[in-house]
Amino acid sequence: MKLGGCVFLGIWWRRCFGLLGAWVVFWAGLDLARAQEHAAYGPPTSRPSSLPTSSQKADTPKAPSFQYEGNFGKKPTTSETPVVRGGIYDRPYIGRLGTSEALGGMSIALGGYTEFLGRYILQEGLTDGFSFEARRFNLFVFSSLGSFVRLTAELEFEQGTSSIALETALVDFRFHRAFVLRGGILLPPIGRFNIAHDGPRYDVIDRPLVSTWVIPSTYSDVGFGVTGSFFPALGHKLYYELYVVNGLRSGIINDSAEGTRIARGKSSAIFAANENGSPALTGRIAYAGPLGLEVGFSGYVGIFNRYRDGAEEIDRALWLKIFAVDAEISFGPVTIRTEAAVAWIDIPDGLVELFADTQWGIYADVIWEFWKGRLGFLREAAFRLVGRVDYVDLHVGRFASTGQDIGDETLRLTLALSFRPYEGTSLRVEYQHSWLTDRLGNVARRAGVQFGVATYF
Amino acid sequence: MSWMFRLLCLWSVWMVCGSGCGVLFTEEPRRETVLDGPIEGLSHAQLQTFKAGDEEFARVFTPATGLGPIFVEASCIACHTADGKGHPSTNLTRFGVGDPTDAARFDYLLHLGGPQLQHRAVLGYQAEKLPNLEGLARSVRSAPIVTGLGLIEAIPESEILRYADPDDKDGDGIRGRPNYVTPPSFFEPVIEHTPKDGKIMGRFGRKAAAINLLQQVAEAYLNDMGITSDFLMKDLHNPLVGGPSGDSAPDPEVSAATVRSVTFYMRTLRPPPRRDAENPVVKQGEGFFAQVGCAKCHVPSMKTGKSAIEALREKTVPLYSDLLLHDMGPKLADGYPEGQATGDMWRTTPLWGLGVIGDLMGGQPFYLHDGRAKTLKEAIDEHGGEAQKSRDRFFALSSTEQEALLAFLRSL
Repeated sequence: MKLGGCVFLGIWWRRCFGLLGAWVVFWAGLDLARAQEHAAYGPPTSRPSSLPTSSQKADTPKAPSFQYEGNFGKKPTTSETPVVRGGIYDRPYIGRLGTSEALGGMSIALGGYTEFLGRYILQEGLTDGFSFEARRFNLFVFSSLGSFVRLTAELEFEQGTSSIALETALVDFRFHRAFVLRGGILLPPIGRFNIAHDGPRYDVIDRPLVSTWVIPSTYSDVGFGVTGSFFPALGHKLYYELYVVNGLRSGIINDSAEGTRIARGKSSAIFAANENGSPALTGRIAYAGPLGLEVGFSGYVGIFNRYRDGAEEIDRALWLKIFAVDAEISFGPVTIRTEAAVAWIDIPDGLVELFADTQWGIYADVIWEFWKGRLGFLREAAFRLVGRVDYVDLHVGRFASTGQDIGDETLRLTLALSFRPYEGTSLRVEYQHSWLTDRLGNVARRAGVQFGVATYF
Repeated sequence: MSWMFRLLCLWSVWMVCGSGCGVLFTEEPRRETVLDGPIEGLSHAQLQTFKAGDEEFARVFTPATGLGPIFVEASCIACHTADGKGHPSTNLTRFGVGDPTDAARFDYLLHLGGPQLQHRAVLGYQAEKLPNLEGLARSVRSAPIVTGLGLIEAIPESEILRYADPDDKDGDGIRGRPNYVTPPSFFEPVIEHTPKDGKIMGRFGRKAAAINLLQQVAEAYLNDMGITSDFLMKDLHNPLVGGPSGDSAPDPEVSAATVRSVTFYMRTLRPPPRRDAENPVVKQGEGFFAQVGCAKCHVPSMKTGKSAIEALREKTVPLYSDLLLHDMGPKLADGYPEGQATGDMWRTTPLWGLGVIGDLMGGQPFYLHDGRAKTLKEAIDEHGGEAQKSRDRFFALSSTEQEALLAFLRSL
């Protein structure tokens, strides 16, 4: 067994380093000038890719600029162009980065976002009435420790103080914009939503089903890896992220009441130790180009059960594999955003059919910004209409006894109207209608209205 | 701006209009199409207990809350979806070898995991498998509908014995027999029982091997979910593994109060309401039901006697069963005796709720004790033994008459 473990790790690490080596060679060979990047993305700025707008700048005190040193230039450079749109470095508060005398001259920025909502939902005509929810209050910290090191963290309070979690706490060592060594509590890049999930980013209140059930957003894990971006041609950009993390745990099955639930594999204990000693591998590669196009391919592979105790193999290793595709494109005022994922889960013989070995899902948003302009004292307000289709099949398969399809599926339609007084603030009202299919194929309908506010600060 | 406000107005009107519309905001299913809900006449305190039991009935266990280490399903509701009949995928299997006509000479293979197969196990533990033995009897069973059980429990033994005819004195070929079984150590009578040789008449379960609902619930917690309770404290384990090492939850995994609340819930679930009872075709079918002899075993109604719960006292119970054992012929025989039930005997299944079974299984009903029949006709066709004559009479009816009888069954 010990030999088997060594062989496994040997093959695994060899593949991992091989992949890393390939990346290094690739970006080194493509030492494209930063001018290219300037040409493609406009003048260098530390402002996030889309937030806030110039008009918002006018409403807020001018933020002190910050200086990068050393390898990254003597002034803010394109290296600040976010690796991921909507990701941890694409938040408005980073634009307020300044130097604090009280903190000994450290460059630091504080920010966050909050979202709350009210809802009235009926399922099969029955309702528990009207309810408010303080869904999230998240605090961000960003600090640039000189030119080489930067740190960012996110502390999340869900539903008041019912859940408090350190969602991100990572340190980047920037050798080059195409090669950043990252370590700490990070967001495994499975799909795009997990790494760009802030409520104010979206005009629909609830998170996509596929991104919370098949991809267990928000999934944080501890590990390290590399990330970066480079420019193979003018106007085209490639991102990559590749991390080794502790990995999701056996709660996928063990703590799951309704069947396979990947999100149950998350645990605060994940930050303390690896349950089985075998790290998981996760990564994403994405292309960004004209029309705001971004296409990403990502994945996760890891063992989720405790299959050995010291040198003794006490169970069969059970693997979880997730593959995700995400895309976004804009045509004038219309943006289409989608994400799909499929997960394969090893299920032990004694739990076959009770737990799913395959799950998949998809969502698509069509966002129409039908009005944008000055509205009274608001210089650049906007109204958006959003339609979303969500579908997840949490149990792909058939009953051996009857040959019938195993249900456990949800189809949800959402129609939302969002008013954005500023780009980082969304007041929205939405109607959603879900068809919930249980394992046996019984369909229950759930529908209702939600309204809420989400804003960066 | 004006067109934008028009759009907003349109949105608002749509939402306001929609608020009263079942299409947009869903609508409550008609009472007669669902099985759940309390029996009428419960007090507020009883309704609170009912609600507590309802929540426990729907609770899904995990290893952390005591599931297993070996089990069949992880919750009550998994087998009794919406309080209805079990889907074939949730069937359980009992097994043993020996003389199917005599439980005393039947080996329930306790050393090999019998009498019930727990074919699932928590992560890291080994599920049971059927032993590879010559002549192994397998009794595969679906979970029954659980509604109206309190009324069945409140039927006095004397009422049931009215329909018993073990020696077929009337010569009609129907021999209803009660199943007298040994009560468990925690047995608590809820009606007057008349012991016979230290045994008490059973009425629940496919072979009437459980005397009352408390026994049924406590045993289901243990044998179906691997959940120990104050009533049955010893956890299950796969004998081939040696012990319940996969279960780290302290015993009992549920309290007596939990078992009692679930028992109360099942006791006070309302009986399935009739649909289309006044439909002339249904009424005609009811006549054929009696005419072909179905009603001899599927007795249309009985009366409850005393009960601590007023809502169950002195009520007419339209269960369509005599709660007695009958020889059902070789097609349905499982070769597995229980108490005085031999391998070809089954307790007459109450027919109430028959018409909504399919609606709770995604549109495809599965009838009979193991869900083998997809249509009522198939189910009738499987009847043999004491029911053979009735079965033959049914198939001798014209197709219109058969359809009327089936419409009646679907109205139950």
